[in-house]
Amino acid sequence: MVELISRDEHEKLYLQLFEILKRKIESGEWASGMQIPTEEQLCKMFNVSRATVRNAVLELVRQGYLVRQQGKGTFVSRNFISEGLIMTSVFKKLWVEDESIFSKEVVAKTVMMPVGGLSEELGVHESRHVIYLKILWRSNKEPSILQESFVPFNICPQLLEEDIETQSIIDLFDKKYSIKITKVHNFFELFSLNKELAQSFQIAEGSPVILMTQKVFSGDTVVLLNKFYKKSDSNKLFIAFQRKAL
Amino acid sequence: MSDGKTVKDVMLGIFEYPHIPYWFSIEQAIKVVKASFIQTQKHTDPLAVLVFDEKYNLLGTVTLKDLLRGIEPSFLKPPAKAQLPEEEKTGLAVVWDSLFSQESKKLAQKPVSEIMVSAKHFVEPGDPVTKAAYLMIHYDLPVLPVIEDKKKFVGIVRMVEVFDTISEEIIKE
Repeated sequence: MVELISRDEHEKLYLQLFEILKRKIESGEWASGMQIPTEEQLCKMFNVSRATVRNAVLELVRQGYLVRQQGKGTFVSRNFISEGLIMTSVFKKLWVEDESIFSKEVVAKTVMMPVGGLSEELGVHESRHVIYLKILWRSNKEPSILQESFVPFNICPQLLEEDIETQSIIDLFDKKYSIKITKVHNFFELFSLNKELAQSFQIAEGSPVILMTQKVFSGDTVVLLNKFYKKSDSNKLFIAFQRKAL
Repeated sequence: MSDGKTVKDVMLGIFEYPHIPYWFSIEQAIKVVKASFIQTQKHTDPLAVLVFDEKYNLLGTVTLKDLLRGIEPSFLKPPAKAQLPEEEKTGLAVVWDSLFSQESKKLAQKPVSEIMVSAKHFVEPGDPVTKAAYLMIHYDLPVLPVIEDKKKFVGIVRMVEVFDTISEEIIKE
């Protein structure tokens, strides 16, 4: 059966194609070790451009579903978790050991322009509007984590109307707005609190915190930039990777 | 008069203008003006930046004049009690070259909330353009916010469209 690409959806074509091909692999329609059709054949099958096919295949290679063999072609991985550290992981709003002890308060939800380093991190021009969210995570009523999130306005204008106190942004993207998250980059550094952030934590300016910067991608586009400032207390940040049984 | 045109017919979308939160510094606002208007050469006249609170409610506007006034050194400001002769108002010993230098850099760290013009006057989308004209003329507003159902900020009215609508009546044969 050939699944069709919907041109009405605003989702990028190559992501749609990626999903379709991924399903073929997961369902076994494309058996492990099998050589997949050539780029040209795939273009014809789905009536899309070479660039679309190439991007979809590249993403499948990157995620370990396909392997390329020089001069031979592209094959379905025998063990589609490839060597190295590519594993499927669960994208969650925030990784903390025990989420139940946290209460979440949205302290800001507004729009700003990404001047300074922000436009570079987001990959948008400084003249583009960005949704800004600031969320305070408390445990035992004490501020523990401060989250700043930035979403280019054109990615999801409706986010401004959404309740993000009880829903996670990533869940909303994934389930409601069909913005498929394809990768997340995490960066960790030690950070000294500036005056404004220190006030939110009610601790002294200059206090050290862990800063986890999280770039959330859909394809090559950054759809969400999170900055988690975690002060020193009894809670820990935690990231889980999970091998997907095949 | 003015063909029964309403605010909704002439207003611009709010995303024609850059948005900033009130805690941005004057310096950050200046960068926004440069990035949004000057570098892009997209002159949505008048050049204004919209200032919002943390719940995305419109608080006010900042124009180029407000920004420059915000970083103007204090000795240039007219004295509070203007009893001095006219020529002394700006201080006689002003060296124009060094204006807007050291002190201005410090002043640019002030938040925009201190220099913005608060949004006090609004129109609804269904209001006649003449009402917008009245408010803009009498309160000397560079831009006039359009608020729907007394709550949602949906557009901006500018002098150029107001002028165009009203003047149509006058020049009509």
